[in-house]
Amino acid sequence: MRIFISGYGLVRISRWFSDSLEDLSFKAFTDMESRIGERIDADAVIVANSLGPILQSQNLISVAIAEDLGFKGRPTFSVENGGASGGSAVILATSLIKAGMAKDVLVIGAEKTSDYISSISNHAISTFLNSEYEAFYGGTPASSFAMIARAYLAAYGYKEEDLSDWPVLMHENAVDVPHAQLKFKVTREQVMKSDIISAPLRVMHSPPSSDGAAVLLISGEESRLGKDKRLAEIKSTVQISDIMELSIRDSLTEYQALHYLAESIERSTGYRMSEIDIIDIPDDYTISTPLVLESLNISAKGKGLEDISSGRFRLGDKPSVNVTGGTKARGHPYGATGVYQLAELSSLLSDNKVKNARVQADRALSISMGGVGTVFTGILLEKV
Amino acid sequence: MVIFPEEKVGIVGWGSYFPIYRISMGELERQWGFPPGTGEGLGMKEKAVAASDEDAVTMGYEAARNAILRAEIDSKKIGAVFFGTESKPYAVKPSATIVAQALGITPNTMASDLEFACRAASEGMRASIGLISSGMIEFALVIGSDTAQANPGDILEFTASSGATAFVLGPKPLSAAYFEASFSYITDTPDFWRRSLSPYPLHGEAFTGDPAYFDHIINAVRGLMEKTGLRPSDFDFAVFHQPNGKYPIKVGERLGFTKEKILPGLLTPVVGNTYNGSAFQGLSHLLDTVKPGTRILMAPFGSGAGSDAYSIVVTDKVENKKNLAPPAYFYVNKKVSISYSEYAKFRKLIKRIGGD
Amino acid sequence: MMERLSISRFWRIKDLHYTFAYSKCKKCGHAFYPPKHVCPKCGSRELELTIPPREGELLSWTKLYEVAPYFENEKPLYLGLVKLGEVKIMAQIVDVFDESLLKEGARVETVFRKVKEDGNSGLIYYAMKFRLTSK
Repeated sequence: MRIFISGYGLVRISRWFSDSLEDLSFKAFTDMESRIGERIDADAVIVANSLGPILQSQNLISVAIAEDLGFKGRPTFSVENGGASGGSAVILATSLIKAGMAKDVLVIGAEKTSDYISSISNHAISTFLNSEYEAFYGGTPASSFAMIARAYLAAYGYKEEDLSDWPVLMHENAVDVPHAQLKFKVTREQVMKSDIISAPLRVMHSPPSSDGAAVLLISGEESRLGKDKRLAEIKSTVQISDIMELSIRDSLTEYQALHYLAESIERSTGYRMSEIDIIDIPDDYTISTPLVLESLNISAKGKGLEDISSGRFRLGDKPSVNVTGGTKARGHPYGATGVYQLAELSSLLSDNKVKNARVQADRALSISMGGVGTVFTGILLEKV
Repeated sequence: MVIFPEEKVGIVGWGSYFPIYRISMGELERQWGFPPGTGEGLGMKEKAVAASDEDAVTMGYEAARNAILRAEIDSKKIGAVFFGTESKPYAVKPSATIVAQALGITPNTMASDLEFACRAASEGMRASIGLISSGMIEFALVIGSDTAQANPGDILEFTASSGATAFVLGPKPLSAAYFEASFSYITDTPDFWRRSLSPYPLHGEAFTGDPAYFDHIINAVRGLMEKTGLRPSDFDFAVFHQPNGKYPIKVGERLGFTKEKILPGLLTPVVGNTYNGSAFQGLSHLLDTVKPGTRILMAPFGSGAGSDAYSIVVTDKVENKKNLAPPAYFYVNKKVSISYSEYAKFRKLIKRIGGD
Repeated sequence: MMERLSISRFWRIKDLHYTFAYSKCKKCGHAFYPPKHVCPKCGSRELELTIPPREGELLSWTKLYEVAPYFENEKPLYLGLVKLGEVKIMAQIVDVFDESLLKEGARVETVFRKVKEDGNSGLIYYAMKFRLTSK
């Protein structure tokens, strides 16, 4: 059975002090309706959200949001997988359709991190680590990525400055993306002068505090909508968990789960990573970028940062990576990020409305990450 | 000489700990407007300050770990843990259980916190001697540990410091030093106190001297001398409670001990008065350095008030144990100077929202 | 800040926090911290708790400025990944007064410290941390 993305909607990522999770979700949903041009119904509602139970003190989030959007008496699911929640939600949606439980599934990714001051947000995201161990000691994702960064830089003889080209590229890529949070360029010098968050990582390596919501309509061949509404086909989905604690991993400098993810996508579609036009990857705190690229075998081991500095992965290169600015510049509303990624890629494969620059692409891969390389989803889209 | 029950018991292991941070006397003088030389007048150079993640429990743990390393015993053999402190992290909930659990001593042990100002740990030492000599238990762990409090700006702040010393007591044949005899002298003398919800102690200034410190130590030591027939000349070293750099020398003079016998065991000028670890730190340092056959007088004192005098003889077992853990002076020498503002942050003297 | 941290959650794993007791697989010998019910290498359920040595070497470290509420009195926090005998453990590094000594391969040893206090009235949580070994 073929599965398609037949609609997307999104709100600009920002600090939306005036909007609740429900407000943002409703705006993203009506944005999708206006893009499609009709009222949308669905057989099931899946909400990807990670921090709501902590920051909004709300469980049953899928019910709360479905109710607000006017969906009654449907199966609803809340999916929490950290930054990979959105990818996981889409995978669940495809499974429901394949299982015959639904023809159209509404996937909503929504997150608000601006409701509390930063130290509370630091606590909230520290739950992506083992809470009785790494977070108990005060660790946060920033500190774990920083330890990875130090090990990576040392292992391959890089300097701290070598991390700076990626944020520069990401800010450049976001400039013409209407829904991106940070639409301004930065220089290497600005990156290197920004405050240290967790040495050697700086503010300009880290994602901004982001609120956002994005929606997708995932449809099977029996969809209520006409075939002309199809934006992209979901060719392959894969989700792989890895080890949560850095101390139990064999290596700090690779994401081993991504070897299997790449293999699985290549096996199920026949496409090699080198045949994919656009890849959107979790580039958390910059250091994730070389680890992801190398673990997917797009860059040779230890060459990820060198490849970035040499000008690879820009728009037009194959693959182009994070053409909408990545977590750094597009923004990173954790549970919603995976939904944004797929909304952007399905747009780039069809209407091209999420970026002003023209993008030519037939195949796009979205990779989402929860925690510090703890869980990954991979979803390959193809132009219809 | 009569054989006392004490003689069945000795110090099987010893260990000290001082935090790395030091605040100078000059820093305290400038902060609170004391004339230059105030600290020197108390015989003080600098004092040890616990970091904000340290307390009597964590310091007591490290001193005890060193003592157990020197004791060379399975910590499960310890049948009593006495934790002497006047800066217990919990008003109700024993510190001794935390240390006993972390050191693998639990569950088949006695464990309690003792309070008698600076003398509580010494009470634990005497009680342990009784428990061991009676055969009720084989080994006891006695810990004296304090993050000593002082009202900011009080003269007490020049000396009140942080540190811990611990001893594993056990059968004489295994001991690096054994007890010959001990003697206690206790009266109700309110020279220094802290009410239950008050953050800092108050004291009677000069009243802490003659009627308290001097009277009790002198009577305890004289009691020990009478009991044993020993005289000051029989002792190689004397360690008294050391609330500052001056009192121990004065009390020694009054009892007939020369300065030379006191100074080797006097650590307060460089680490401060660690309260329950105060006399203990002197004994710990002497065990790190002296030869077998040395006879040491130790007389801790606690306000309120009381003193115990012990006659302790070092055995040849001391030599092999010295290198099994860091000596007290390892911690004395490992130091970093801090400002009064860092000290205030570490000791939580700064009031801030969310800082509780 | 009084969060009323759980009593039982930390009480039941006190031996881990107090000693860094780790799992060692009886089948394949893999050593890992924190303990799990199943060996992540070979899948065996036959694991035994083992106490690591006191000294080890630093693998990686960071200095974290952006901290959660409980750590505002302690920031910046030094955190390190340490090889302690056969097991790797991440924890705070304390008493760092010369940062240039923090490098891969540096010798570190365990210390027992406070990690969190639940306000002025709640529980105090103690656990092992690391400090640089000095001889």
